[in-house]
Amino acid sequence: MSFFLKPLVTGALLLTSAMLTYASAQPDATAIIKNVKDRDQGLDRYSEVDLIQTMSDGFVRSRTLKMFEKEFGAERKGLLYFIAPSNTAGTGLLMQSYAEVDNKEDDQWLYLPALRKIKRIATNSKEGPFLGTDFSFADIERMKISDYQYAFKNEQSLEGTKVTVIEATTENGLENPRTGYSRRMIYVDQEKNLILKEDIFRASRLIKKFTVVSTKEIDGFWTVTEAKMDNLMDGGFTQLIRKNTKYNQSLKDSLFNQRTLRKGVK
Amino acid sequence: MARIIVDKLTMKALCTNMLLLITLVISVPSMSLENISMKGFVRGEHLQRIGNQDIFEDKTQASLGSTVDGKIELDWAYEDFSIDTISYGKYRSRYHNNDADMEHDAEIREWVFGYESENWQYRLGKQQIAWGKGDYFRIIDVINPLDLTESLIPYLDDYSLGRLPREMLVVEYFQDDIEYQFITAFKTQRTEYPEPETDFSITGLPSNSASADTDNIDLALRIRFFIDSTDIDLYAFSGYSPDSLFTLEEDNSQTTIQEHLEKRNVIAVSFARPIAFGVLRSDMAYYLDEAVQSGNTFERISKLEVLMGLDIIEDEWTYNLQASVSQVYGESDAFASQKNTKSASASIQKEWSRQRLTSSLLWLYSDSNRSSNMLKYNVKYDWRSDSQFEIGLIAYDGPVNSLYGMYDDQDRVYINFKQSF
Repeated sequence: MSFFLKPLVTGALLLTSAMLTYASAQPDATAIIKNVKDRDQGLDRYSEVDLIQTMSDGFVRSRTLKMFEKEFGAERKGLLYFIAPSNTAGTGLLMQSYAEVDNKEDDQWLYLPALRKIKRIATNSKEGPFLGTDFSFADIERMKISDYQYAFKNEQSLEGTKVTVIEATTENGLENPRTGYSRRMIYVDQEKNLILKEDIFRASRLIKKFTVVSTKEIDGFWTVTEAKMDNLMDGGFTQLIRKNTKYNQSLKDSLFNQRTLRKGVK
Repeated sequence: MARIIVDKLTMKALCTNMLLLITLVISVPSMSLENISMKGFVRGEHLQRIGNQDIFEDKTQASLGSTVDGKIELDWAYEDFSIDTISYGKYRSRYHNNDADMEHDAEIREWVFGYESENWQYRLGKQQIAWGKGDYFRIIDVINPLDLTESLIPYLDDYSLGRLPREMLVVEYFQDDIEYQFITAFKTQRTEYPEPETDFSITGLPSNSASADTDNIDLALRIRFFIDSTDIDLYAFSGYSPDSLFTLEEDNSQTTIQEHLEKRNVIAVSFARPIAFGVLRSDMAYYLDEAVQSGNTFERISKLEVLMGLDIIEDEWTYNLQASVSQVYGESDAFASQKNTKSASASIQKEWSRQRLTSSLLWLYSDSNRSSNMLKYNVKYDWRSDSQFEIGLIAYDGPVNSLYGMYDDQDRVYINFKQSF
């Protein structure tokens, strides 16, 4: 018996060692996602954004807005100001997001020119459409790491770019109450710390596909210049095209307050 | 130097002055067309009365006819300076005045010269300021009066078209999460009441009174701050009420009706805060020594008005609920029935096809004098991204001497087409 026991134990030890080595060599999926969220985007940034929504019947709705963002330590403030079409022009959205550890919902204010008032808005569920587009409020807000658990799936090539595929799932497999998604397959370009593609699921059904069409290095920062969200439930898609992006413009703190919402950005 | 005429104008004079304004702007070397932005809309609408038409001698009066209106916003900005203008014109059938076939008017409704620095902003001109967190109910919205010639209908559709702009200087100071607003308003702007024998004329409202002096100055202050995710505003207003009051004056055995515009002092507070399932908001205002009509004279009372509102957005659904109470403090029996009046509103909006189709239902309630209701239902459809169709129904219900019931014969349906540019 002892003749076989020694090689058996040795073999088991070697196998265990190999497995442990393999496990530790696997990328930390949560850390990768965190790197994407926390990637350096400068102290502030400005973009002109076209949101072009094409519905399943061919109806096209196009909106143009100016987007300003600034980091205030762990917090971030953002201002979206609509400049076209004319029936939306003058509408402004001011957002203040907090550090995830603070566990506070974003504060948002909406200026509606017809009312001449700033309305405080809160959507307890972020899965609703952002301005009727195929992007939800959760899609445009800062991601919250704690919404999902992350697991490394594989590495592959996506149109010539090496990506890491990560599966994000909710703890209980059900829909996340905030985002409305139960699972996401996320394709991350680790070199640029950008999400290049996402397959978004509710229950077991693929409901949306997010695809980055183009990226560009601007002022030393990798920037998504065009992205597309396909709505597989209702049909149609929304394109997000970012133009004239500039970083570290020393945007004034005073830009991110209700005065700018009312006055507008000329 | 061109001179901008800002009083009510004919369409021809309006166009002339808009041309002068554009010429002024582009003639100064530091200004250019790229600093100018323009937008607006043109809208055509047809209205038809519904319900009991037996009250009309001529059945053709049931048709309210058609209206065409349009708005142009022309803004110029250069560095820290700006000029903002809003011109509005309306061409309509005898919907407004039972005697005239067609009426038209046009005006540069708002014009504002602005300058801003790091922490200060100055705005001088004919403009409007909206105070308070309430919708439809103006608890604290005291700076600008309303155009009531078509009851509240324009105000419901577009608050900025229902509120009457007035000349004022607004100075604002901003510091972190605190904002101060100082307002000096020149000349009292009266609430615009319906003409006699028009759709929404108010029974008993004199039409031929001696006018009150309007050379008054209103002073107002608002302080806004943000604490623990809550917007809090404090308000103080000292000026004149825009609501005309009337007394009978005897002079040499002749009785005349004299109009009065009496002083108004208000202190108020409002807040808005997200809660678990929506946004909770409130307005509270205390009117000190407010003058109110009492028969052929007026009396002074104190009044506390409180409004609570709740907004919920759930995917394509939007819900708004409001309730307000007005408590009058005074000794006069004339206000026994109005000591405590309640109002409420509820609205539901549903969107389909990514906001391309929208349906809304609004209900307003008041127990002023007696209980009455107003209901508005409409459906909007975006035919193109800049074109919109709308059909709707407005209905009033209640006793004839109640707030909404007095317009019980004015139920109507409408259809309109709006082209934005």
